[in-house]
Amino acid sequence: MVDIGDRLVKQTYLQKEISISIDDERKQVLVDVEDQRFAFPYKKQNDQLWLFDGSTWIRASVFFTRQEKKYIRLPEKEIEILWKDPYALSSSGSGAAADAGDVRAVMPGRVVQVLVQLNQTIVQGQSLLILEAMKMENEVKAPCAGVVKKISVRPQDSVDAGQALIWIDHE
Amino acid sequence: MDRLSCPAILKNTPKKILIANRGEIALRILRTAKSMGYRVLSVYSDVDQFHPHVTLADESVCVGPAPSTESYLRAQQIVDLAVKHQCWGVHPGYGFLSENAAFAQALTEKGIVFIGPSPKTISDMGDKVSARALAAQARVPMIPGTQQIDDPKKAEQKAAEIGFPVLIKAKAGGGGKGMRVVHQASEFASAFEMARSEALKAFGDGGVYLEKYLLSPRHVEIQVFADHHGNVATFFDRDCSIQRRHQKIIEEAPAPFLSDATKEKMKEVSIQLCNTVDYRGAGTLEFLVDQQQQFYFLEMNTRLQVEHPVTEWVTGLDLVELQIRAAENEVLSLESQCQGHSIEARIYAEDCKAQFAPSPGKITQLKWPSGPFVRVDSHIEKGSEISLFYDPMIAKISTWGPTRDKAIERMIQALHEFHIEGVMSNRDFLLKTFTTPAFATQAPTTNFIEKEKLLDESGSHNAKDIALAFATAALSQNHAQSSSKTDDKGPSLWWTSGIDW
Repeated sequence: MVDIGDRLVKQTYLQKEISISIDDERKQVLVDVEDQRFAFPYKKQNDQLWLFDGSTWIRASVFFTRQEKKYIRLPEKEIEILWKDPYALSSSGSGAAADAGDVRAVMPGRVVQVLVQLNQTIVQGQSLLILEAMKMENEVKAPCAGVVKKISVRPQDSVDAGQALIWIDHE
Repeated sequence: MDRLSCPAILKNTPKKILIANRGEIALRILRTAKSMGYRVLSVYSDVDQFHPHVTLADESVCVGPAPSTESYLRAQQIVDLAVKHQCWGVHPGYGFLSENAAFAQALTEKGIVFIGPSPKTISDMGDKVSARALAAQARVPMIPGTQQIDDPKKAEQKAAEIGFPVLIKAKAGGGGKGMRVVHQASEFASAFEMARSEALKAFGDGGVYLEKYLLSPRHVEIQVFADHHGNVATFFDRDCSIQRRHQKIIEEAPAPFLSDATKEKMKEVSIQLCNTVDYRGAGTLEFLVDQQQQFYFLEMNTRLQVEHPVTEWVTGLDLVELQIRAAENEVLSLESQCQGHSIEARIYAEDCKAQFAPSPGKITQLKWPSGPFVRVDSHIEKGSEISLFYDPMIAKISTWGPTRDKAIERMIQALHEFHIEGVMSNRDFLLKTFTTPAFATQAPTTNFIEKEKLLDESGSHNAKDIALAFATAALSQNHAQSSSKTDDKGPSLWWTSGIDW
């Protein structure tokens, strides 16, 4: 299983390159905004995440999400960012060595058939399920080899774009 | 103000009031009605079953599915319910059936009190053409315009006489719906046809009339109140100039930057109109005020206004209590004083950067502001659903201060404390409005949002804020991921290494 903590996540904000990593040991988040580095201690309290911004603890919350847009509330303002989900595999066009994680619907549609079973070992490119969208049936294929660890949909379910369908794990 | 000689709560068989509304206003009416000792019967649609106006009521009845035309707007069904449950009166709130004369008439015929003016007053003032005629009779200044006009040629001629820009308005419209601005003669003919067909589609009545369109006016209104014994008074004025999509979002009392002489004249004509139409209960006369402080009558709302809390703050009165007491035929002494200043902000679930489109969804986190002189009117709780079936208003936050500046400062603090997750809201936009220097120093106008460019991007954020935003997104994703993993694998290493988790 992959956590953000295990690797560097790269994002961009208005053409600025942002790298984020979570330091599990020291309980801090490291963020590089171009050549500036920030380290924010974090903690979880009362079922909320908190970040120390250098002078005070602030509630770290994404108050709204729409596809790749995330809206973050800071004490004095709200910030809208684009967050490329590092786990979203099916929509990535890179093709190269996809990692384990969720297989997500690319567009809204209806599940016609699920072609795999829980704990089934699959190979990269294998058909996982058939999704009807825009009046066409589309095969959703495995972005990587692994084991089906979770099936979140059933035939006839309606799904939204970005919705997780199947979780694949390296065994 | 006279006290009730015998509070209803002490009587053996308390009277029952049916509240024909939902949301914050149903809850607000319930609070006063119950505290006065009345029993409350609430009605609700399927999706509102666990709303506070239902759960706090003495009795409740489902009146249909979510669409309001199949529930809250079913007048005959609600009249029948009031009869069946032996209600003394019905409070309609605002919107829905509040300005429906046939509804008020049907109740009256069954011997049930409609808490509001007479059916005749409602229909007279609800029809904009007859309202203008009555206002003219009461010598209330009006914007140059026409009566209903059907002939396109004549309309075009009239428009030229009035002078462009001209507003084409639906006779049966309201709340900003059914209006069209025409800037020049060449656009008039096609705009007129479109306005007529829109009005026919939206209101089932294609009647339209013309009005002079004022550039950057203010929207000022007078709160009137009358008992059933000829006592008429005004409870001062409100400014509701700051609007989006022709709907108010910020209201205040009293209206700032307006001369006492102008206010006095507005008060005079308001009382004249109330006397002319034998007004009863709470009502509001809406005016447009131009740069020279000339005022023009727009319309009269024969009901409680959304923004009534600001008037309650500065007068110390409970307007719903007064409405009920007037409906009880009490003789009311309507003297009042205006103290300090109050501001209200309407919180909507909406995306301000997408033309204020509603943002429906489930409220996953919620923290209301509090503190001295802060009032929150809301029916929303954590877990509530903002649905597309109804107005996406989440709350009205209002503050009071001895001065306008103090009220604004408290509002800014309140909005900072307010926190909501699960929907987009106009909180940040409201904050931006209140902190814009022009808001404190100038009379707000109806085009304030455009004039102050409040919707423009506020420059770039600094590197630290950007870093905090991405740190938040990363942490919350990891949190969500680890929570979902809990199902089959137990808590992830990530959080088990934390404190008490």
